[in-house]
Amino acid sequence: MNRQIENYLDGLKNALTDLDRSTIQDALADAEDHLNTAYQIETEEKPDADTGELLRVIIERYGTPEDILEQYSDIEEITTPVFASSEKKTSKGFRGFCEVVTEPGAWAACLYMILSLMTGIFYFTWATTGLSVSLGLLVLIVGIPLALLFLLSVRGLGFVEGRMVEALLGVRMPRRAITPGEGKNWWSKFKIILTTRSTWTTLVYLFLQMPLGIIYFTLIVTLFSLGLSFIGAPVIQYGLHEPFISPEFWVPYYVMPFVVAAGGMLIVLTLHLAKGIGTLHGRFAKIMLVS
Amino acid sequence: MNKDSSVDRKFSRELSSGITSLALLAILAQVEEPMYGYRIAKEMSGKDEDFQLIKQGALYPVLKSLEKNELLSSRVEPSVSGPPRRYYSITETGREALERWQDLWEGTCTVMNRILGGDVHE
Repeated sequence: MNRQIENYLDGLKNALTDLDRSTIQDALADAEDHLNTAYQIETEEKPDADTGELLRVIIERYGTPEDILEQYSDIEEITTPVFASSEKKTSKGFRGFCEVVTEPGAWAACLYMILSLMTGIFYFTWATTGLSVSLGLLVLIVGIPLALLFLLSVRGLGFVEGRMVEALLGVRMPRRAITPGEGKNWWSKFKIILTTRSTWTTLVYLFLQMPLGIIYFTLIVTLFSLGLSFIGAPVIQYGLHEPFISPEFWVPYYVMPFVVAAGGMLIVLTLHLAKGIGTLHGRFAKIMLVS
Repeated sequence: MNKDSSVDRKFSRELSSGITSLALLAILAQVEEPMYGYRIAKEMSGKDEDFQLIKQGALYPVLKSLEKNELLSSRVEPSVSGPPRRYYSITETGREALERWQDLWEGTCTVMNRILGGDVHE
């Protein structure tokens, strides 16, 4: 990439620091694409023009970092993620507490926790295999392109995971994958990938996703089945004529309503827990996956 | 550009925010094939290279918000050289919106021309 474009992008990055990290990444990707395309087209049209001057005009027409900051902070208000938790609470107290049941975001967080077991296993396998194969072959020449491909796939997986986190946990994540240094030779691309913080944090994230996924999955499945079996206790005891807890224990009929209520409460609590974990995990994902 | 005061900047930003959407829709409605960001930007500056209606960097957020409102649709295609390009085209909803917005624009122009032309009754 041209030095002038790089300087501009650095300036832009500094100007945008107060914005959401994902917005910064989108804005930088837009700028990089635009400037490179413009540069490429303009040099084709005017091959004998002075490149420095050409780029100066292109960059000036694109706008100062301050202009871009204003534009992207405007747009940030319009594009909030689907399940972004809305602050409005319609009722207070116990009713407000139970209203989590009607929140799509809480259910989406549960779905994320269930899916994270599968994605976690896949990420872990991929990361372990890729890392050991490319490290093992690094002594041979083939190891280097293999490592590059592996790290590229790590960034790709990080982007996909980010999309999933935004869709289900309502945390804004980058909407465009970043390709390192357009138009450079593969060695300098490799260097960019190696020196980008998010490449390595994404790799760590992929490893951590498996233990986290196991914890999330177990929590959600256990708590949900417990809650549902409490709610279903009368059906089990009076409908199927089976003892509810152990072969010896029959719940007295006057306790039954409390068991059902406890089951309902457990579901509500589980949804709150899922929402909380979802928020925390979203923050964690943002720190790890976004540069 | 340095002597631009902040009031000027604020005014020009507020002025351009609506015009950009209208201009984008109008450009995309006139061309037959989908266009990518830089071509739209060039189309906007036209032959007159000195006057710039809006900064080109302002196009992308507007393109995205128009797409989100389903006035535009887009697809990504690889380019022969350089980064892949996102091609935008106008949707049927976009054409309908464009018609309504053009009426609004003409109304605005008539009123503004009258006011700026000094034809204000005392």
